[in-house]
Amino acid sequence: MEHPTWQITILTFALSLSVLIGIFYNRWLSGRGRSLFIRRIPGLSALDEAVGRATEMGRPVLFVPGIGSLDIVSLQALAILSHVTRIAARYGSRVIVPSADSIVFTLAEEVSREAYTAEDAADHYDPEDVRYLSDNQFAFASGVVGILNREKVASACYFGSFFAESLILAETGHQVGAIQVAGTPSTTQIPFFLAACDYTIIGDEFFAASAYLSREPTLLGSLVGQDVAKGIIIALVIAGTAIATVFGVQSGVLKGLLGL
Amino acid sequence: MDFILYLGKWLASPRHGLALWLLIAGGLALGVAIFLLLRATPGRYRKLIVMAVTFLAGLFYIAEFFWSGTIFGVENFLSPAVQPLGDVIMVVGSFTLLLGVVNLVAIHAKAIRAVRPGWHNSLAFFIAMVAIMAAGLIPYLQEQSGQKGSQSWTAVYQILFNGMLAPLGATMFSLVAFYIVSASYRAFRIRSGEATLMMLAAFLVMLGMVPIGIYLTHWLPETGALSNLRLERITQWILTGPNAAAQRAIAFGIAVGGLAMALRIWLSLEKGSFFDKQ
Amino acid sequence: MIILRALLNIDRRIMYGLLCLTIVVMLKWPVKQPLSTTHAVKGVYDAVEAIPHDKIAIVSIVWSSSTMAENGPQTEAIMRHLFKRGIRFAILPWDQQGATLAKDIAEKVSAEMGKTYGVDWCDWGYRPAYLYQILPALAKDIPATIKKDYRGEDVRKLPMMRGVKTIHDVGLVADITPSGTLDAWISQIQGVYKTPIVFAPTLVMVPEAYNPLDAGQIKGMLPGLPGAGQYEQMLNYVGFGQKGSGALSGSFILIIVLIILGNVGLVASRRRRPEDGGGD
Repeated sequence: MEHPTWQITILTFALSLSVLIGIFYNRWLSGRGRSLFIRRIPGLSALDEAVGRATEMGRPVLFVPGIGSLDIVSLQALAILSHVTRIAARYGSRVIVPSADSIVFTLAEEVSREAYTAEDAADHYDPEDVRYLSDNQFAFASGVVGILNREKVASACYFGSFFAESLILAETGHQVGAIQVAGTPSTTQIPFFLAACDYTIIGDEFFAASAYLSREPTLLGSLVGQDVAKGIIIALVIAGTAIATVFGVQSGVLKGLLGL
Repeated sequence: MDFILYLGKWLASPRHGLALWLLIAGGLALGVAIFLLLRATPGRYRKLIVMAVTFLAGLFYIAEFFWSGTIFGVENFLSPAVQPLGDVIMVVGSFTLLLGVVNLVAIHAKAIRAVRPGWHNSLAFFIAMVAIMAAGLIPYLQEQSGQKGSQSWTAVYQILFNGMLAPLGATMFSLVAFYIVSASYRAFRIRSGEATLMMLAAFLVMLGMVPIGIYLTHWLPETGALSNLRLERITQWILTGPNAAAQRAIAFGIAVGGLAMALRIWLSLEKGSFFDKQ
Repeated sequence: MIILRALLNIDRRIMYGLLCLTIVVMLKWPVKQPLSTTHAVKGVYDAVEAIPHDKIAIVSIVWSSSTMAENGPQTEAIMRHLFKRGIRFAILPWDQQGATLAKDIAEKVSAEMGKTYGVDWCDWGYRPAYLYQILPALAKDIPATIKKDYRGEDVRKLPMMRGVKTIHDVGLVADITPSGTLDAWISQIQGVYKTPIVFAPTLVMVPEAYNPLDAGQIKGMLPGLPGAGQYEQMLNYVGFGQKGSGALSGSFILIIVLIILGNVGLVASRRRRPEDGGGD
């Protein structure tokens, strides 16, 4: 394994530290009965509406946790799944979770079961609703298209890593008349979700989801820390631009600072 | 340190025959013992164990990654363990694949047993699964046992993979083209100033990417100020200017968001979602 | 007015039919269209031209049959250029289908250009796509990591692999992919060893790739099918890149026309509404 330069090491620690300071600062703040403001994210607020609609129509909700393997993105998708399933459990609705990765499938099964149990609705949980389909991208896509059509889902949520299959899923969902909410850090797929879904959350809004949905002080504090970290990056970009403008892009000063 | 290195090497060294079977049996027995121990542990202690294991696993990768050269005269002794640990992760992943297959078999077997609507699709699933497994495994086993691979099995393999799976994959992907047409027809409506701007940008990029668009402004000079009005130049500017800037900004946000999420999981601070449910 | 308002909700089956017709017609009767070479495509050409003759190139294949229409012509164009310059190259497939498809292209082009397997090119055989695990080892010791080619022969015994030990013996990596593998190549190979990389993605991935291109992490890029067409033009041969670009032009024009029609319908419906007494 290659090791990072000291510049990257310092930057990583600075960014991590700002996130941790944000977390502990907000914990301290909430201990004094104060809380931080978090702006409204329509896509996440719409999740309640999506599940509610499915309940009214007596049809299931579809939740696709992306097609990526177990990583940070999939873990965040599973955190959102937990929230969606808990609302559905409260209303007595079904949430169908097709999976393209066997590890994510195993965790999704656990998350769904626990969400129903936590809402005292364990009898509503159907193990067949969490399904492993295929790790082949388009075999998985055709499987989800089949579920969308056969089960006549009322609401579809797409959260996680998506690739070329994103539009196939979202457009089919639109054709069956489902209310659709999507969120992905895969930037190339955002335009497709924007075109075919009712709500799309983009970029780091995706990682803000668990904080937004739970309003837990630790997670809200993490958001504050993230903003500070982004501030550090912006400052570095401005400093880099100034140095490159004064000394030139190929200058030793810039290369030395970047460790090139 | 030396013990860790020795253990890593001992575990990673290839084995055959009885030694291999003994190691597998030992591994299984250890796994069952840990499982039973965890089951017997009260909930809050179990949570502490999970937190400790998560922390140590994260610490290993962080320390290994940032430990460059020597620190206080100590060399990075963690690096040799990265590869064997990667293998462990792959083995665990392979076992979960088995869970996935079990889930598929259970769902489709139940559908056939109960003669549910569409049960014939479940039957098709079993036929396809057995056929693909046979076509892949039989020639391999024949080769392993020193026999010449049967021509008919190779033909079955060709039909299933190249004749069916490949065109089916291509067909599914080609659906994207059709869906792009209907989605863009619906999405690009001049409902507001921003939407109009977005539509114009889309027109310019689409035209600037293909020959016919480039042909539309090919009469403009290739150099000088007027050359900037050539469609491919405008497209290039949109892609390398506003697009690249927005992509970078999103990428920074995603990277920081990912880092924060990773830290929360590593330090078991990710509460309020699925991590603290018992 | 009714017709104009009907444009607001054109049946999707009509749109799909029109698209199908456009593609079939434009592929059957291709119209020769001029292709202007972009800076990104020229970057790929220059990077291949700059490979020293004592180094090999790696052609990384991540695509499968689903994106063959775009990635196939890109692969062929890059292989042709490498053969033309007499640069030895190795195919490194990360996809089972792509392994066969890329080998077929190499066999076809090498037979056409009188090249020999093992001497001018070789195929390292399919690897599971664990790029982050495999690339660091590959960089340090190529023969030990690859071991055998797709035929099961020891790569050390292939004439073209003589003297090839580490990533320093590689003059160029061409990552031909519909997937996010470029990050692995940049972080594990280009960033560490400064090995030049060129990128051949599908058209949908292009907007994301301008960042590494702009930052100099990749030397050039072939944006989807039009990129392959431009490259073919630079190499003076007509392949599917140029033939298929016509169908792509036709499809894009159809999309633009449909969007315009939809907006005409929208404007017409807005004008109609005040008379109906309705609002937006």
